Amino acid sequence: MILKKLHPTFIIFFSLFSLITLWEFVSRLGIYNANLFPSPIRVLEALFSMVYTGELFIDTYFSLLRIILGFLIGSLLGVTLGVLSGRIRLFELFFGHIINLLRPIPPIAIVPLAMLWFGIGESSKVFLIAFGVFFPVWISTHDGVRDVKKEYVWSAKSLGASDRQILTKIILPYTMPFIITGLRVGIGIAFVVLVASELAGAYAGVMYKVSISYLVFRADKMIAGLIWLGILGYSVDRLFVLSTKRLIRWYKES
Amino acid sequence: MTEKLRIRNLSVKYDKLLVVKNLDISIKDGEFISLVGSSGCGKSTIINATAGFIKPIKGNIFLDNIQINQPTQKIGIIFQNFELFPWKTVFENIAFGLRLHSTGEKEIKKRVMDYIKSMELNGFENYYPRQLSEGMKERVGLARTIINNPEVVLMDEPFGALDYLTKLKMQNFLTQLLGNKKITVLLVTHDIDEAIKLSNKIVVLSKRPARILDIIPIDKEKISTEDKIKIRERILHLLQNDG
Ligand SMILES: Nc1ncnc2c1ncn2[C@@H]1O[C@H](COP(=O)(O)OP(=O)(O)OP(=O)(O)O)[C@@H](O)[C@H]1O
Ligand SMILES: [Mg+2]
Repeated sequence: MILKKLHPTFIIFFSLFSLITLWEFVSRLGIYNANLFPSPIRVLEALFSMVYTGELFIDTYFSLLRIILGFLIGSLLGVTLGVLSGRIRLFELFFGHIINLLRPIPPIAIVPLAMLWFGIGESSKVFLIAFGVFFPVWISTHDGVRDVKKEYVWSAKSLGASDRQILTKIILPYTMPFIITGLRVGIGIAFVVLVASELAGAYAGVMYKVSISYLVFRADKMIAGLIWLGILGYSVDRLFVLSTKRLIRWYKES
Repeated sequence: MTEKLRIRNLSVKYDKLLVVKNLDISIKDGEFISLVGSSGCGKSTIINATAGFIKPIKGNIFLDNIQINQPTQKIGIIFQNFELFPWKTVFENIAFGLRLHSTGEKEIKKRVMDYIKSMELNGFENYYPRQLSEGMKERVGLARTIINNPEVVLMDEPFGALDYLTKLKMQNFLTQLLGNKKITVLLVTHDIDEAIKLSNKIVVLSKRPARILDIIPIDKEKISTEDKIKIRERILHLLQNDG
């Protein structure tokens, strides 16, 4: 019984433990240069030193700030335009094709242009992340709005709902699972774009730290930074899933 | 009795398909009228145009002699699939109309719970529609519409998807709900017995485009089993020999 209950957590810890052990083992074999392939202990030391000097906090602060700002702008635009294009035929005709023409361009591809326009400061990075987040959010919102059955709208109207109430009490709640799916995809894209934009030039940031550690051959710091980036991405995604769970409880299969 | 609802000279087209042509129906206050007709003849279309959901190419709808051009709270609707809001619980589905008009929370709770009791939905207040049986969904749908105090209720094959026993039970619920409320009803059904059982008048429609083949009054107080059989035969005959 107890063994059964422990099962999933146990496996997760065991898998992590095995990976780290294997890593430690391989690094101790001494086949690879310890500076290029540092042991987990050394990576952990590098991480602690980055915490100790405070640089990790500064880098994390800048990276997260870019993510949050870019994500907010991109998702607000995505939801707004998605509702408009999903509801208003004229709007879709007018903007739909332009948006679809821009969509296949990977946000990473416009990094140089964004740098040219906005410099290597914060605005270029926020712009790029917003650009990347916008498309999945717009598309899923649009599809969700399109999916609303006309009978829901009709029922609400005959119960006395105004146009505004149709939007806030029918369209948006129904579309919520779609929006949340789009937002979650957007979070993933935001991290990819963050990495690309920090590699292209920055003054601070987690990936920026990784890239300058490369210049001084500090593989331990590079790996520590990458692991930290992984932890950040994972935590943001988990946090998002947990905080949106309540909103889409109705949608989950029982 | 005064005229409550009037469908006047109604014609509806989908693109090039003429579905309703010059239809006239007059319903008196408190009357229960059933529309029967073959599948695809345009019954749902008539209901949706009457409720103001779709625009006719010709004709008007009058409620208390006032023309209506868009959906109104005075006309409630019940769809075949109930169309409960899947993101709302039983309680919130029923409370939907009340909440739109910012009735106090206490009042809402009291009124909704009254309906939940009379619809035998106790204990299911916090269930989502997907967790309910068809009959329960139907009762939530009825409650959601009736709690809003409509003067007219349009029903599009509300019991069509139910098994026989559930259907009988639901018909009783409906009769009980309408009770002394004096609500005017326009019911679409393909169940002739249901029409005879519930209505004061049966309107028999032709194949598409829907026109009136016959209007059969029913005296619910005095009608005998024999009369019922005769009416049944007559409607069947009309529908089978049409077109
Ligand atoms: N939204 C629509 N667009 C185009 N044609 C439609 C639409 N809705 C219905 N029709 C057509 O109009 C005709 C009448 O449809 P309607 O749903 O009113 O019939 P009905 O009498 O309710 O049928 P049933 O008894 O099967 O429900 C059908 O031929 C149908 O194909
Ligand atoms: Mg129909």
